[in-house]
Amino acid sequence: MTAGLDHGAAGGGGGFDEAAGTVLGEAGTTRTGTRALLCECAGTMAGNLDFDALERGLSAPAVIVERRAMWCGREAKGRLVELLELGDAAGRLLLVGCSSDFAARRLQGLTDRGLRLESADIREGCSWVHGDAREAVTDKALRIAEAAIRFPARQQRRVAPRPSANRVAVVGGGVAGAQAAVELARMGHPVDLLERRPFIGGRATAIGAVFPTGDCGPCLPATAAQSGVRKCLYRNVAVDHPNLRIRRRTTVQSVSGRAGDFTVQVRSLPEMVGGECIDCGLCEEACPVPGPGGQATAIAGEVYDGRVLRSIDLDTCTFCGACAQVCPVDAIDLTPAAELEELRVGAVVIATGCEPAPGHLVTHLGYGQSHVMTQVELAEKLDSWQEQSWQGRAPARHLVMIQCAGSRDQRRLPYCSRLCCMIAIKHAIRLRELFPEMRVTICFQELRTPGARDETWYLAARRAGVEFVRGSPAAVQMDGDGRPVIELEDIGAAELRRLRPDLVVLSTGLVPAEESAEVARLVGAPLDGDGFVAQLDAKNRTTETRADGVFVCGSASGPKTIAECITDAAAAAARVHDYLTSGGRQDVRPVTVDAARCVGCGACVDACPFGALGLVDREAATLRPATVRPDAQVAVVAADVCRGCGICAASCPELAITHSLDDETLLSRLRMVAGGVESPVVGFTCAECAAATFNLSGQRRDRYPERVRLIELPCLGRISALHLVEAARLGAAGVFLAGCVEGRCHYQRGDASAAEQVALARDLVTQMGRTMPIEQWHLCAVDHPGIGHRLRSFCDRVDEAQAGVTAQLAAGDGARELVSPVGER
Amino acid sequence: MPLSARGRQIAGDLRGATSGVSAGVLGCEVVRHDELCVGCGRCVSACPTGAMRQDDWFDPAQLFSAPAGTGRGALATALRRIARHEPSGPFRVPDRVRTFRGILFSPDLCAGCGACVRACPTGAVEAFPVSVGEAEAVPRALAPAGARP
Repeated sequence: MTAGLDHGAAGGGGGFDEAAGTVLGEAGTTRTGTRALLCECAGTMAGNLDFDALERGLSAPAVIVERRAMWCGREAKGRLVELLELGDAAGRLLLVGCSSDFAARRLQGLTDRGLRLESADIREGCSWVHGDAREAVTDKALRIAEAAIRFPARQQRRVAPRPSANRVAVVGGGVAGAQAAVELARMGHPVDLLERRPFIGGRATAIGAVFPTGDCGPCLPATAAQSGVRKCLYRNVAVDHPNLRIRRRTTVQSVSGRAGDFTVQVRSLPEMVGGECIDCGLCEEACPVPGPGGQATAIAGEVYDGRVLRSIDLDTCTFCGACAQVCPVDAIDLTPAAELEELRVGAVVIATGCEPAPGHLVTHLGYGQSHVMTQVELAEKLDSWQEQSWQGRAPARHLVMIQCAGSRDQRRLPYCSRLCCMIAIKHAIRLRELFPEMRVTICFQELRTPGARDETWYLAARRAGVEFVRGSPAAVQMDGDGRPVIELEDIGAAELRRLRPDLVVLSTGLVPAEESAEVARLVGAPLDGDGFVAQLDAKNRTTETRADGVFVCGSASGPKTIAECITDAAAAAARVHDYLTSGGRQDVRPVTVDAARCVGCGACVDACPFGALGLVDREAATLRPATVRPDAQVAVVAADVCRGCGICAASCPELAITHSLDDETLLSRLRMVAGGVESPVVGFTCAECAAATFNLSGQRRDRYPERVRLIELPCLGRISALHLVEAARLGAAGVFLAGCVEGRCHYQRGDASAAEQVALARDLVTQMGRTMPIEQWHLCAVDHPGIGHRLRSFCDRVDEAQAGVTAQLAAGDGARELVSPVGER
Repeated sequence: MPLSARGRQIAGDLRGATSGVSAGVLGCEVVRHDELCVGCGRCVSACPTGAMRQDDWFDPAQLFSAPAGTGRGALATALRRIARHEPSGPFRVPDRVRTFRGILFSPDLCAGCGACVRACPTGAVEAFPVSVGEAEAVPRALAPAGARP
C-alpha cells in the first residue's frame, strides 16, 4: 500500500528522511493530544485518495483520528459543538480536509463561539488538483496532514489588551479637522482640536461660495439633531459639545509615548483680546504695524463664533500698546506669555490640509506682476467685486484663466490637484453673472470635471458664455504698458492665438500645508513622494497612516473638495473610535528574541516595517552567545506592535528570533512535505493574496503535477536563504515563492525582503554547483484561472534547466564550469 | 581600551586568521576576526576615519569559518550538504541585505581609537595596546601634511 512514511521512528526524529541529520535539529514533534478530523468531503476526493490508508497512516499514539464523510454537515457540527464544550480536553483540533479559508467560512458559527480549528488542506491543495495517480496523491495528502500534526505552529502567546487613552488630538481646525473633532466628540471621546491660526474653518473661510452647493464653505456639522443638517460656523462654533475643546493659536511641540498612549506637548499663544471686547474696531484703526501676509494691521478681526473676533499676530506685533490705549473697555492685555501643556491622548488625527502652491512655481506665467493673480486671490476678491457690479463697473473687460498653472509639470508640481478645474468653472460662472459684459476665457489642457454633478457645472459654464480654449501658454509676456500678452497654440482650431486680457488668473495647484511635514515627523508618520501624509493603503485604509495610532483626513493626504474632506473626516473618526475601543490587535503571534543567540547587531531593528524591535542594554544575568561581549546589546520585541510577519526572523544572521512558525518547524514541514517524490517543486505561498489565489484555483480543480508541494507562510517575508538552500538539499528541482501583488504586501516589506533572500539563495546555490531555478511570483485572487498553467509551465522550465545540466555533465564538462561566472572584482 | 577576556582568548587562538592589523597613532592595534563578524556594519558607522567599509561583495568562504551553532554556521552546514564543489568566490549581494556583506578594513586609515571595538557586538574587532616603540606606522590620513609622501 501507499503511505511510505515511517511512523516507527522513535522520538519523531528523521524517520521519514535520509538519516543525514538536520541543520537545526527537529522541531517539537510531540503528538500529544492532536485530534485529526479527517473529512472525505462528501466523496469528492474518493477518486484519487485512499481514505483507509490515510486513516491508518495518521493513526498513532496521541493522535486521535475521527473520520467523517463531511465535517461541515449538520451531524458533524453537533460533534464539533461537543468538542468545543470539552475545551482543552478535546486536544488540538486539526481538520484534514479543505483549505483553512473554506473551513473558516463553512464553520464560522462555531469559530465565532470559540472553536479553534487548524487546517491541513488535502482538498484544494491536493486531491482536487491532481489526477488519478492514487498512491502518489494519497502519499502527498498524508504528508500534508503529518506535517501539520507533527510540527504545529507555536502556541499563541496572549498579547495583553493595550489600554488606550480615550482622548483624541485633532491637529488642524479646517473643514476636515472640525468635522472629525465633532464626530469624535459625539462618539464620546474627549477631543482637543488644535488650530494654529486664531480661527477655525481653515481655507474654506477664505474662498467664499463653494461648489457643489454654491453657498459658503465652512458649515459645521450639527451637534444636536434638532439643529438641522448643518450649522453656521460664523454664527456659532460647535463649542456646545461638552467633549470638544477647541484650542486656537496652538501648535504641536513634541509627541512622545506609544501608540494608544501618546503625550502631546502643545504650545498655545495667549488670547490677548479678552471676552470684554465689544467689536468696536478702534484698535485696528490705532495699530501702527502692518500685519502678516498683506494684512493691514497686526491686530485684525475675522467673523467667528457669532461676532468679529480680534486677535493679535505675535510675529509682527511690536507690543507698542497703541491698541490697549484706545480700547474703551480695556479688553486688551499684552502681558500674558505662551503656555505649554501636555495632553495624554490615545490617537492623533492629522488634518493639516493643503495650501495654494507658492508663487515662485508660477513666475513664468507672470505671477508677481500686476494684472496676474491666482484663483485663491480671485476668490477673496469676488465678494468685494459685487459692489462694482451694482455700480455697473467691471474690474476687467477680458479675463483669462490658465489651468494647470505650474501643475502636471515635472519641473514644478508633478501631480494634478483635482480641484482647480472646478474652482475655475465656479469662478467663471460667477464672473459672468456679476459682469455680463466681461469676456471670460479658460485655457486648459484637459478639463477634469468627472461625475454627473461636476459635468453639470461645466455645461452651466458653457451656457453662461464662458469661452474654453484648449491649449496652454508656456509663458505670459507683458507689453510696454504692462498688460499681459498670452500666446498659445489653440489645439481645437489648430492655430496660434494671441490673447490680450486685462487680467490673468492662474489656476495653481495645491501643496501640503506648511506645518504638515513637521507634524507628521513628530508623530512618526511618513510622507508620500509629493509631500502629503502617506496613507496606510491607497485603497482600503486611506484614513490611517503608517504610524500606529496616527490617522489622517482631508487634504493632508492629497487635495480634496470640501465634500470629500467631510466624508473623509467622518471615516477617520469612525476608524479612530474603532482603534480606541477595540483593545488592540487580535490574533497576532508576536515573535520572541532568544537572548542566548542574539548578538545585538540590529539587523532586525532595521528590517521590521513596524518598528516593533529595538535594542536595549543586556542585563548581566541573561544568557548570551559565547562570542558576544558582556556589555553588548540585545534585541527586544514590543509584543503589541509586532504583527507576526517574520521579516525580522528572516533577516537575523544568528537565527535568534523565534516566529510562531519557527525555523525548526518550517524546515521540518519542508522536509516532510517535499519528501516521497522525485524532484519535488516546492512552492512557498503567503497566507494572504497567494493563498486566496491557490484556494480559488483548487476549487476550480485546475490540475497540476503532484510533485508541486506547497507550504503556507504568514508572509513571504518569513523566507530566508537558509530555507531555500534546505529545499535544494531535499532535491527540489525548483522553488517558487508566491506572494501579493508587487508593492501590495500586507506587511509592507515582505515581498521585498523575500526578493533579497531569493537573490542571495540563487547565488549561494549556484556557487555550490547546483541548479535550482527560484522564482518569485506576485499574485492576486483574480489570477486564479492561470494557476494550473503557471505551475505546469514552471515544472517544464525546471525540467529543461535540469536537463541542460545533465547534458553538460554528460558532455564531460568539469563541475566548475557549471557555475555561472560571478564576475571579476 | 575595551578588551574582553574573551577577546584576549580569541586573539590568542586566532591570530593567524585575522584580516587586518593596524598600529594606529593612538597606540592601539585593531584586529578583525572575519569568522565572528555578522556583517551588521556597526563598526562602519562608528569609525571616524572611514577605515571600515561595507563591501558590496560576499565571499561564501566566510560562512564556512563561522562557529557552529550560529545562524551562519547553520547556513554553512546546509550549503556543505548541497555542495558539488568549493564555492567559486565572492558574489555581489542585493543592496539591502546588510548581514551578508564583508567588512573591508583599511589599516592605513585606522587611527587606532577603538570606536569599532566598542561598537562591535560580537567581538569580531579587537584592539590591543602596543608599546610606544612599536607605534611607528602613522596612518596617512592622520599624519601631518608635511609627512606625506
